[in-house]
Amino acid sequence: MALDNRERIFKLEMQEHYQIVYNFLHRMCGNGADAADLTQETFVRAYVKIDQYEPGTNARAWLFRLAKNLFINDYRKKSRRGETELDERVAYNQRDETNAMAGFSDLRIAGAMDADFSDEIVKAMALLKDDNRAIIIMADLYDFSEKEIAKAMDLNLNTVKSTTRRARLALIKRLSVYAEDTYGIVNTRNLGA
Amino acid sequence: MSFSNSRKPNKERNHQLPEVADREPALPTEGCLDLSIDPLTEDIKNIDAYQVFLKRNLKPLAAPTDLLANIQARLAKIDAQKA
Repeated sequence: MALDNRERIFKLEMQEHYQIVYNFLHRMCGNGADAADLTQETFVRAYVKIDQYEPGTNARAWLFRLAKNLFINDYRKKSRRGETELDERVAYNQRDETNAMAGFSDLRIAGAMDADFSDEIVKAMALLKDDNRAIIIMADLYDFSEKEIAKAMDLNLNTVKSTTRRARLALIKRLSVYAEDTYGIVNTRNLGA
Repeated sequence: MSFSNSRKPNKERNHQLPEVADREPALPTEGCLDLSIDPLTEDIKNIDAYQVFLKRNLKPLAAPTDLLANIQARLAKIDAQKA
C-alpha cells in the first residue's frame, strides 16, 4: 500500500481510537505504563498491517483484536507476575464453575446503585479469565455488539453469547459477596436453590 | 328450613391468619442495584441497570498526554526506514 494511502486511512479511521484502546488495555493489564506501551505497539502493528484492514468497515473492532492478541500472546506470556495471577484465576474459576446459578435468580442490593464499587469491580475483573474480561469490557463498558465482539475475539457468535453470560455471572458472584457484607442483600429468593 | 351461618363475625375469631409465605419485602426502588439472573436463560434480568452500574464505577481513564505523540513518532520512524 502506498505511503500516502496508508497514512490517510490511519489518520481517518484508526488514530481517533487511541484513548479507548489505551483504556481497554489498562483494564486488561491493570497498569498504566504497560497499557501505554501496549497501545503504542497496537498502533504500530495496525499501521504496518493496514493492508489487511478493509477501509470503511470497523476500525475499532479491528484495533481491539490487535490489542487483545498483543495482550494475550505477548504481554501475558512475558509477565511473570501475570503467571502468578493466572494461577489464582484458574483456582478461582474452577471453584466458580462448581457453584453455577445458586442464589442469583433474585439479587437486589439496597443502596448500592449509587455507591462506589470501583475497587471491588477492578478486583473482581482481575479474577476473570482474560477472554472473559475482554468481553465484559467490550460488551458492558464500550457497548460493542455481539458481532463486533465475535470479530475482535475471533469467536463465533454462539460462543460470544455463552461466554458473555458466564463472564457476567462470574463477575456478579464476586461482587455479591462484597455487596452482602457492605450493604446487605435486600432480597435473595432461591438462595442456595 | 333455615340455614345457619357457620361463619362467625370477625370479632369472635380468636385465631391468627397465617403469614403469606412468599410475600416480598417492600424494596426501596431508589439506589437499589438489581443483579438478578434469569435462571432459565442465565441472562441478567436488568441489563441496562447492570451496565450503568459498571460504567459509573469504571470511568474512562485519561491516557498519558504524550501517548499520541509517541505513537506518531514510532510511525514516522517506520516511514523513514521504508523511504
